[in-house]
Amino acid sequence: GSGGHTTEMLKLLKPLDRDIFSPRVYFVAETDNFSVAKLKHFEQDRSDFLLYKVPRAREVGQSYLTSVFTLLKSMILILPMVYKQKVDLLLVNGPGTCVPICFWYMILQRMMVKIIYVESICRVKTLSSTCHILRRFVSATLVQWPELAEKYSGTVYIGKIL
Amino acid sequence: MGACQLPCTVYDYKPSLQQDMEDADLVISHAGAGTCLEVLELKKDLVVVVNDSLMGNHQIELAEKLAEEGYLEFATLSTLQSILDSFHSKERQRFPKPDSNLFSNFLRQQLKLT
Repeated sequence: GSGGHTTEMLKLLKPLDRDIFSPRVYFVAETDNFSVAKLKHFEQDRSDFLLYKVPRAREVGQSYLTSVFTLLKSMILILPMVYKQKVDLLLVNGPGTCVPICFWYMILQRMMVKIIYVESICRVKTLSSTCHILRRFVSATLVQWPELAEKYSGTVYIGKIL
Repeated sequence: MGACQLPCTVYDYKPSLQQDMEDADLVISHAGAGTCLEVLELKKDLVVVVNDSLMGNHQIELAEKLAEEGYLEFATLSTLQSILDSFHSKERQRFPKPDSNLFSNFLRQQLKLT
């Protein structure tokens, strides 16, 4: 994603032991140079990671009609990446880009992958649309405010992680 | 509006406001989520200002929540003066740091790693 999503994702990853959670694979929107730079900085001392650039399912402000086509295009182009790249754990935090990625991992690695959705700290009263779409399919959905977990059954508040 | 007696430095854009925020005793800002978190993580006093017409807008949900929890002061253009007049650097709630093991333990549990 860009901006807030990337910043939050890197905050989540920072305390993790990268010798245990290794190797790491990143999926970044191909037009998102900001995120690529942040992530290269984050991983500057490491060599056990890979980066895939994926087409955006939808640009900000794009019409919903043309979004159908860009979504289809991204679904088609992402499939071979997912096919090639088996993972044990998939962490997503909400940019539209993550929907096709989750979709294909659910299909291709059905029982063999844990998908964890982490909702943004900015979502205080309601879940994001991406979360609504994905939450019935992922292994766990984490929210950042206890009242959200109370409001939406099936979501979990484990404490302050962001 | 009267003539401003306050010494001001004005600029269009800086790549990072980190230094200015670190030097500040008080930050008065818009209610963007990123800014709120950045300032609170630096443990600075923060007053956020929003347009009256934006009240209840989901974009300021986080700022509203942080104000409710006592981490910052929330003002509109009409209330800003009185908020600043009565602002004390009182013992505000400090924004807690994340628990560094929580997420890791959760993931390890999910993956059934010891």
